[in-house]
Amino acid sequence: MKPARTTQPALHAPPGRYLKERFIQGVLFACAFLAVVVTAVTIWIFVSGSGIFFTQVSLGEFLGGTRWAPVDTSTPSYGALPLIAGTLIITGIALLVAVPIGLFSAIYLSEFAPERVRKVAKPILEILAGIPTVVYGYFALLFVTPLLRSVLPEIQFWNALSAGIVLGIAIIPLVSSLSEDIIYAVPRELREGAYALGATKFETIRSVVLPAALSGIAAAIILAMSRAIGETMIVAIAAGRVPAWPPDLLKPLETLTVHIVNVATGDAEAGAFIWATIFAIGALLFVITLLLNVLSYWIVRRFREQYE
Amino acid sequence: MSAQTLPHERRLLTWRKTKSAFFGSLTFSTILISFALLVALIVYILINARPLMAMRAASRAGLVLSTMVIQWNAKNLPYVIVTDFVPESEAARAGVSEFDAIIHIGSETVYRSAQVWEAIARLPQETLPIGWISGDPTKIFGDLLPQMDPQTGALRVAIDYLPEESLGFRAGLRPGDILVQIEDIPVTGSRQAWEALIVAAQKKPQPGPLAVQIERDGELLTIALDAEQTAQIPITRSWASAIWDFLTSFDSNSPEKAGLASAIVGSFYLVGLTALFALPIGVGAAIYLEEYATKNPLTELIQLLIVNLTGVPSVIYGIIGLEILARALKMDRVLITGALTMTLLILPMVIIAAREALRTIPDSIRQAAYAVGATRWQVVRSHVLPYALPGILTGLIIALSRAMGEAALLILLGAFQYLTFIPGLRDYFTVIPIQIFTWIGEAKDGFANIAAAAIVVLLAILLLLNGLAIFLRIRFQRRW
Repeated sequence: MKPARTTQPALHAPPGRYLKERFIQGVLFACAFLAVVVTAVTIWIFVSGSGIFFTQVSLGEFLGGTRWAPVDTSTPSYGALPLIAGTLIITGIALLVAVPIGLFSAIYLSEFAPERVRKVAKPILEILAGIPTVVYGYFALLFVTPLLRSVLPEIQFWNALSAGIVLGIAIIPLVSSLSEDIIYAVPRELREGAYALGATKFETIRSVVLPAALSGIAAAIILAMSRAIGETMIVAIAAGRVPAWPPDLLKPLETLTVHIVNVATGDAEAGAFIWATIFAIGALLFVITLLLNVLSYWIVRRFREQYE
Repeated sequence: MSAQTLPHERRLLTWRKTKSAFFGSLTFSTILISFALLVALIVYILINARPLMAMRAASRAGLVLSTMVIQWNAKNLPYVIVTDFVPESEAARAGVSEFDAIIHIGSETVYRSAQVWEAIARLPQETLPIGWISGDPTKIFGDLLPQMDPQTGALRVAIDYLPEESLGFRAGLRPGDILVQIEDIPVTGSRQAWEALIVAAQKKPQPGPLAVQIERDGELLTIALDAEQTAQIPITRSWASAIWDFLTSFDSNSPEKAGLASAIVGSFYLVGLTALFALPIGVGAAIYLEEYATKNPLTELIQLLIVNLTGVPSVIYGIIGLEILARALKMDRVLITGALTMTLLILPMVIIAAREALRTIPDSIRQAAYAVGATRWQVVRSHVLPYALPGILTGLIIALSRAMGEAALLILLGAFQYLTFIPGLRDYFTVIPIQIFTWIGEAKDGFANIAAAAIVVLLAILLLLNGLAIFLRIRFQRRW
C-alpha cells in the first residue's frame, strides 16, 4: 500500500479519466460493431462478385438451367439446378435420419430418462456434434458406402445416400439438444393436468408436451437444415464431385458447397471466370442459410414466452 | 380400478398402457442408436489406424514399397518394388537396394505393397523373411543385346557382356548365350527378360532356382538360375516409435513414410493465432453488449447479426477471407490469412459464450465497485472480468476446438498443400483436417490407414481441449 499523497481526499476525477473511459468504450464498441462490418463486407463481396457473373449469365439460366458445366471451354453452361437439387437431396436424407433420431432422443432424455442418465447422456450425444466433418466424410466413404453396397449392390463408390445418412448422424445433436431444452422447459403443470385427466404418458407427450414445444422443435429442425445445406466436407469426400441431372441417390452428385471447394482446389487462375461462379453460388448459399437462420430465430422469439 | 370396469374398458386401458410403454422403449432405442453410431465410428477409425505400427516398422526397416504393373499377354501383372530407399536401414544392410522387386515374404507371394506391413502385423517373429530380385538387370544378365533370329525373324535377346560377379555368370550363363525363355515365359526383349524373371519367380511358392532356357551354339540348354536373393530383415515393432515417427515426419508419396509434422505445427499455429485474435475482440464485443450498450436499434441489429453469423456456412467465410484478405489486401493464402479468417468464423461463438459468462456475474458485484467510486471500465476490468474469465475461456476453447477441426474454410485459403517443411507465419500451410482430406483422396494402399491414424491424433487433441474446458469449468465455477 502506498501512503496517501494528500490528506484531503480528491473529490474530482483525475484528469484524463473521462477521455480514457470514452476511448475504452469506443474500442469495445468497435469490437461489437465488427459484426456489422463483417456482414456488410460479406454482402458487398457477394453483390459485386455476382455482378460479374450475372453480366454473362442470366438469372433465369442460373436458377433454371439443368446443365452445370463451367469448365467446359467450348460450350460452358451455368444452370445451377443440378447443384441446388444435389444440396436438397443430401439435406433431405440428412433430415430423414436426424429428425426422428434426434427428436426421439430428446423425448427420451426429457420425459423418460432419470435425471442422472440425462446428465450423462446429453453431453455424450453432443460429442457427435464436436467430431470434425472430415472424420464423418471418412466414415461415410469407407464404412457406410461398403455397408450399403451389401444391400444395394448397384450403389457407386461416391453416392448421395451415404453422404446424406452420415450428415444426418452429424446433425443429430443439433436437433436433439435444442428440442430437448425446449421439451424440458415445458411447464410441469401442463403434464400433470394431462395425467389428472387420465392420460397415459404417451398421450401426454403426444397431445400436450409436443404441441407445446412445437415452435422450439421447428426452430431446431430449421437450424439443422441450414447446417446441412452449408455442410461441405462430408459431401466433398463421400458424394463425389460430379454435377448430376437428374440427381440419383445411388450416384455421385455435387452440391453448392462442393462446387466452391472444387474451384478452390482446382487449378484455375485467379482472374478466370470460374472464380465468378463461386460468388454466385456463395450468394445463393448465403441467402438460403440466412433466411433459414432468421426464420428459426424468429420462430423462437415469437413463441418463446407462450407459457411464462 | 373399481370392480365396475367393463372388460372392453380394461382392454382399452391395457392397450393404452402398452402403447405408452412401447413409445418409451422406442425413444430409448433411438438414443441407443445414436450411441451405437458414435461407438461404431470410433471403433472403425481405431481398427483402420491399427496398421500404422506395422507400416512404420516397415518404413524403419527400409521396406517402403510401391506396387507396379507388368503388361504381359494383355494382362496387368502387379509386382512390388522398393521405393523411397533408405541407405542405413536393415533392408539396405541385407543387400536390398532401390527398385529391387520384392517377390516373397516367407512362402507368400507379394503382389501388393500392403502385404509387407500386413505380414509384419501378422507374423510373430522378430524378423521378416523376404525374397527379392535385384532391380538392376545387369547384376543378373549383364548387358543384353536384342537381335533377330536369322531363321524365323523373331526378336530375341543375347547376352553381350556378363561380369563374373553377376548372378547369371555364377549360375552358368556365358556371353553369347541367347535367352529363350524363363520357366514357361518367352523372352522377347531386354526389359522383358527381367520382367519374365519377376513373373516366373512370383509363380514359385517360395524363393528358389528358376529354369532359364538358353540357346548356346545352336543347342537348347536349361540352366538353374538362383535369381532371388533372400534375407531375414530384423523388424522393430513398437507403438511408441511408430507414433513418434508418424508425428514427426513430413508428408510423403509413400504412406509408410508420410507423417503429420507440418500439419500439426500448422494446426497449432493457426489455432493459437486465432485465439490471439478472437479473445480480445470477442471479449471486447461481449463487454460492450453486456456492460455498456443501451437498448437501441443499433444494439439490436448487432445482436441479431451476431446470432446470424454463427449460422453462416464456413465456406462463405472462406470466400470472404480469400477475396478480402488474400486478394484485395494481397496477403496471399498464408497461415496468418487463415488465422484471421478463422477468427471471423469463431468470433460469434466466442462473443455469445463470453456474454453468457458475463451475465452470470451478479449485479451486486458491480454495484459494490461503483459504490467505492470505480468507473465503468474499472468495474469491468477489476471485478467483472476476473470472475467471468473461466467461463469466457471455456467458451473460447470450445470455439477453438471447432477451428481445430475445420477444413472447408481453409481449403479455400489454400491450406491444400503438399508440405515437407515446418510452416511459418507467412508460409503456405496445411492443417490436420486438410491433411486427412488429402490422404482420403489418395488411391495408394495405406493412405486410408494413415488418414485414420491422423483422425485419432485430431480426436485426441480435441479430447484434450474439451477436457481442459471441462476442467476450467469445474475448477473455477462459482455459484452466486
